[in-house]
Amino acid sequence: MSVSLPPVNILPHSYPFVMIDKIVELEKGQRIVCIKNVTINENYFTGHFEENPSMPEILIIEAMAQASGLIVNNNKRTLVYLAGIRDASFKRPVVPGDQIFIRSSIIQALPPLYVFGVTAHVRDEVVSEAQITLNII
Amino acid sequence: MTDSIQKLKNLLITRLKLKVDADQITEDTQLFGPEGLGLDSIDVLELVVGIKKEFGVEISDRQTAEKVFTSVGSINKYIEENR
Repeated sequence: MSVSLPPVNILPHSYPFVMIDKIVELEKGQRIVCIKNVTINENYFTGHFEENPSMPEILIIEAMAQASGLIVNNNKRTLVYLAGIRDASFKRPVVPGDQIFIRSSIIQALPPLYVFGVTAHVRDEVVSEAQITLNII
Repeated sequence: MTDSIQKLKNLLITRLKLKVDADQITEDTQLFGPEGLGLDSIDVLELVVGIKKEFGVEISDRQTAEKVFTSVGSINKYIEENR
């Protein structure tokens, strides 16, 4: 299934904390591919860092978590909490102008807890990987 | 049998970063509560992922999980029966 709507209406998050711009592919209950366009007007670039703006790595994790939550989300507003981050790595900085492709798939489901394997690419290069656990209630 | 319980003990210690020696864990060691290993539900999920990777044994519903995750011996038994 291909979906191109902004996920703003199905994520419980709202501005300025929506870290996903577009859903490219979605197989409910299995996997997702999302895009986050990193623009210079993101408010965190003012202080991170003034001379050399880069996306805070913790927000890349947040984007990965939001993308993962969408795999399980059933178009109803659920509460999703980040329950664990494991084996997270950040290969290189993400800077304004980058388009992040986030790919997430379910490794294990034991509701309400779900484990996801997630990667983030910019121009076919891995910028970040993590195993993320979400508590979805 | 001994081989798999040793592997399971190592999995418990390394994956959950438990601060106990393998010798202190027996088949009767309980997973939950202060008398046991004091695991929580997120630890259990980590363990489910670890058991799938290490032993190729899947535990995919909560009922099975509740039955399997009581003691170290009960996990070992389930692995032995399903691998």
